[in-house]
Amino acid sequence: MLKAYWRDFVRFIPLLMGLTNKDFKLKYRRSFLGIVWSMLNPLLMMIVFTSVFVIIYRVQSVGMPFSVYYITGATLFNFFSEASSSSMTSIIDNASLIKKVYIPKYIFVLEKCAFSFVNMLFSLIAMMGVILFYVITGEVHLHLTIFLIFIPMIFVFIFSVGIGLILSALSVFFRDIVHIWGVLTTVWMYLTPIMYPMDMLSGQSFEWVIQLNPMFYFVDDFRNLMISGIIPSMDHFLISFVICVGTFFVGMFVFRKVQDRFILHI
Amino acid sequence: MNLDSKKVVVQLENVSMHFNMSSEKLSSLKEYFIKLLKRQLFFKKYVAIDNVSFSIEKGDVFGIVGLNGCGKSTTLKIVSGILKPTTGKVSVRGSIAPLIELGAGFDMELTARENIYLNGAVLGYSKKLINEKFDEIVEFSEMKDFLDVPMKNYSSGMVARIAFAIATIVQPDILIVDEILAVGDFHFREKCTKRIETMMKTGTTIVLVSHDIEQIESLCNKVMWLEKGKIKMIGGVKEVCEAYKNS
Repeated sequence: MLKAYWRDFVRFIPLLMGLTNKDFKLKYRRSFLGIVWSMLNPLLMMIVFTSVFVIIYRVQSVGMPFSVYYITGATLFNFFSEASSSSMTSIIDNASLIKKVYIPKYIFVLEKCAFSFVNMLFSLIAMMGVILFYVITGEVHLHLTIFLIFIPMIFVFIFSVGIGLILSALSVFFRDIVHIWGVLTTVWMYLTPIMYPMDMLSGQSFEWVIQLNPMFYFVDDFRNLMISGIIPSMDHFLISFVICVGTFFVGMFVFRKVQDRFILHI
Repeated sequence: MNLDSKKVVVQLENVSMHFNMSSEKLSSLKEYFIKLLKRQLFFKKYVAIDNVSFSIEKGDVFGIVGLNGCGKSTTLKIVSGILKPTTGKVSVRGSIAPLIELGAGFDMELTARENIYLNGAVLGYSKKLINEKFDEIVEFSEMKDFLDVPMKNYSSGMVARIAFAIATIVQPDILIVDEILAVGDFHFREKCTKRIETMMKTGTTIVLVSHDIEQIESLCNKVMWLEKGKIKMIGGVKEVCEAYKNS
């Protein structure tokens, strides 16, 4: 049984790569700067938010230059937001294919997450550029923990696949999800310390919400590894692990349960 | 997979397929609850296939005939694993190449060259295999001059040529053909028919749906006649086709 699943998966790995490749080609076709946009966009967004928060709102004391603080958090969160919303519609968008050829349907969700992950890798280059700039000016120091950033990245990836599986399955039956998800991710983003320091929330009545927010753990660990040279505590690590693996299995369970009925609704 | 005899490659046992007509356009939560309250949710069942059982043996060319909406395409989709039947059991032995709608996996923004690789992957072929067969695909489809043109600029016949060439590049154990030979010019249709005939000779099982009764008569050795989701008649090509034509 498991072996058959695995064989099915292996057989469709070329498709996974082919679809990712296609998305990549189509995204930059006919644009002048092409792939440079993947790096330029996060930088421009960083400039916008830094201007707004430092000049207008006068946010201070994030413990590092604000632009570094923002771009480390945003890189990870934007990956999650992009992966979840694009995998949400992946089943609906591939209706014509699903109706005519047999393909394991989770491939579409996985592909969107993989594509977003590749995009994140490009944002990572931009992020490294910003960090290096501040290393040169002496405001940020590099630590060896930087080599461990792949751990929270993989956690977020698994978490996103789980959420993507749930959302894509639900959106087939209730398209409302598609409309509300944009709002929800915005709320989610503001509940994650990306543009404000964590201690701004301490003492607030809704501080517990942050504790329940999986993205908080991923972003916090990512930033600590990247900038502060702090290795996350064991309980942070365990919480992250349980959250992402748990979400992944819930997603698989929901998806498998309803996937045979997709075709009747798309 | 429990197939009765070694020679049977496709077997459907008491297969029924129900579509929920009312749920078809139910796409918002509000609608769902309104319908739930009105108790209309699970009404209006449409039976596309009703308790159908048949088996296809290795090497058969199995034709399915019937009027529009009698369940032919649904049957093909069930055999190829795209649809899961509501009740009943389906057993299939061997690899399947479904030619249900040509070009289903194409992205019209991409060029033909890119689409050949993508569509090959959709059908589960490895990149290496497509590399090996690439020239053969291009040659068969006769589209060499248009390889790097986005496919949105292709005519439907040209799309069909590429699609047929990819889908039949590997000899499958079972080939499923749904009305696809209707596109393309006569020259290409001849070519397709020839390729299918070669496959027949070398042991591929073929399931064919067509409204062209002459095509069925010339290709098939066994025919099933569906009417409103039920088997009206099944058996040798001559008797079924005669009865169908006289109905």
